[in-house]
Amino acid sequence: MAFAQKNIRRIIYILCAISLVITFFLPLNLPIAISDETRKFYDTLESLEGTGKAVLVIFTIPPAFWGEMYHTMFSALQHIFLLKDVKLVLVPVFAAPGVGLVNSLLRELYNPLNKTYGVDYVMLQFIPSMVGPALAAMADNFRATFQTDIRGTPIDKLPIMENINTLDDFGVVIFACPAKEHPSLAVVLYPRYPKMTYLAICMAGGYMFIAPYLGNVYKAGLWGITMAAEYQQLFGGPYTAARQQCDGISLYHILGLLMLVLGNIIGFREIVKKKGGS
Amino acid sequence: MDIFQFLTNTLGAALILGFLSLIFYRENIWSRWAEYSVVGGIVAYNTVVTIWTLVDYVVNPLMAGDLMVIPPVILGLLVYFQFSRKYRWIIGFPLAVMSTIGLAISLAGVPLANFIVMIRETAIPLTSGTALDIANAVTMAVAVVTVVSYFTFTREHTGVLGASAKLARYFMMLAFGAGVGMQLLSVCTSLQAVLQFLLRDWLGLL
Amino acid sequence: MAWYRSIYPLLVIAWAIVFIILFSYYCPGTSFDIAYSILVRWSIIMGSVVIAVGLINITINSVREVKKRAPGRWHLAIWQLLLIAITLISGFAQGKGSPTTPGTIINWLFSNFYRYGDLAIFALMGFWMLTAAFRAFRARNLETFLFVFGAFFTLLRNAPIGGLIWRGFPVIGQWLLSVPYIAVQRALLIGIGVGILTYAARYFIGKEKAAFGRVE
Repeated sequence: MAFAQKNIRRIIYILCAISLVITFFLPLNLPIAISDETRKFYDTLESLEGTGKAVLVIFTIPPAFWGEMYHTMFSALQHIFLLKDVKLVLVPVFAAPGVGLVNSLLRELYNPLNKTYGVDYVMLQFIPSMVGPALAAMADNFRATFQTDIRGTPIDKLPIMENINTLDDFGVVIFACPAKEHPSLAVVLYPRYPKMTYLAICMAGGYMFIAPYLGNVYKAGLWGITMAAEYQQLFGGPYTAARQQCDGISLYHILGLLMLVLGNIIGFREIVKKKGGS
Repeated sequence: MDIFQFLTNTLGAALILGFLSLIFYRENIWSRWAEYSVVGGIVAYNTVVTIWTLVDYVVNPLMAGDLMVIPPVILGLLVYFQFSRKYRWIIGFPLAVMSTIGLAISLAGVPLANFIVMIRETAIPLTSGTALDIANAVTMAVAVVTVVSYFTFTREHTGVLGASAKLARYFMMLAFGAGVGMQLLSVCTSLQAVLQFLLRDWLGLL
Repeated sequence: MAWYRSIYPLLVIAWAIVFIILFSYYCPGTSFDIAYSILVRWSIIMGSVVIAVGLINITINSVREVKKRAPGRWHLAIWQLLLIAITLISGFAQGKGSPTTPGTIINWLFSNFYRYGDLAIFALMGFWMLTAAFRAFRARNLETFLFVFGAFFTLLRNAPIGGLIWRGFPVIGQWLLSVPYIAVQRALLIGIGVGILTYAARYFIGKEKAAFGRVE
């Protein structure tokens, strides 16, 4: 008992690690219900099929949050690649490591789905400034903001950029960032282009930054690995890593609830003891 | 998995385990090595990527005859005077330009994004929808008004304002608890990714 | 103090910039639009040029630690300087696309080393939050009870298993996230908007000297 009390935090850490990984060895295959928000995001992208429009994905993703953002980004980009006659334009902003991370994600997607760089998708040059001025530059004059793509190819030589001059030429704008940069889009881009369809991709912990804007600025959002797993079910994608991880997430949450309840029981007992003593 | 891949993954695993040793044990040379590696490496990587973008934003336009890229370069270089005690005051000029541009861009959009949209989205649902929708809209409107009143510090929180602030605290604690729940989902996903890397990519157990 | 070292020339610059930007924003289609475009581009270029400030700071601190032979740190400071040098040299020597091209040293370092460290730092919170749930999130009064209530139902809503235990859990959790949570965030955004306006007022009358690098 004394050992447990002395090492309680280490015991919790070990339980935490076990809860997250045990389902990789003993999968539970828990069913995942698809939420309305996921369906809205899916339907918004799905409505672009056959229109010939492009999707603009503006992203700023530091490596610290890639563990979570990977799944939602993968789901959204895979869906865009699966849509017929829909192009993808990616713009990296602010967080330099995001370029390498999303590049590695694209490498997983374009080969199996036979997509050609410069024709079906392109990553434009990195904008290193803070998100606000970067979005302002894009809102002001999209074409003039980019002279080349991320590889240094002049933008005029890219077939995908032929009919794209302003933000109005895009069907949907997706803003993918972990958390606090989302209000920048509402403040900078939305007032200039209020009729554009915006979608948000963020971390579950960043939901507080997009929640007030859902339904008005953002048409829909995708946050957290559970939504990525729901999304994968919608277009029957073969990628099930998100779904596989959700079992462990469930166990972790049950453990979290146990900790919450246990902690409160212990706290309540201490209060009763103190009151009894006094 | 070949030996080179294993050694490569061992490097990443060493970093991760260094940070894990910090919490399972306490600060030690391994955790400090991990800190120093990450801090120095990430900053250097960011610097390289960003400096290369100057080729597109400065060098190419300059070679094409666009001289308007020279003033921001000079202003940006003035920031490096912060390392000099005697000439540190010079950084005021580039800071004035950079901060003001960012602030002014935000200022332009704040009335719409922070006020009009928020008030519109709170008020409009009060007038339409099912009984449940209107009940939710009323709850939301009460919460918004009380929480805004909570952050009014020009008057003491007594009387009506006091009651409003108390109700606001209840709403905020409910919301912050929900926020903690969302944050938990984020951190456990990242932790699972780390553990997955250790077990699958490094040790090959998965 | 000489006039050029005071805050007044900086305020003149600030006022000129904010006038151009706000005028161009609210009255588009004038010649101020060109000035606005120039200013936004300048902001991006300046952001790139100042990126090395952080690197220089870290380098100065590391060199200081090595010179002072700071116990337990000076070896690590040498290691840090070595890593920085390798990253910079490989990044600049191997060409523009080297940070993102597989096969280059800098890309190898980032993909197999740096990014896992950054990920691990954030992931540690996964451990800490559970211990916080055990030790700190205790209901002592109505307010803290509501906090625990909110956390409880949100956890059950987020975990797929919650809906299997009882159908009502995700419903309550979703209500929490759709009504009080959004309401509080909206109110906070209104407050943030007021804060930005207040800060801007102080900024443009010269009260925020730190923003101009004029720290007393």
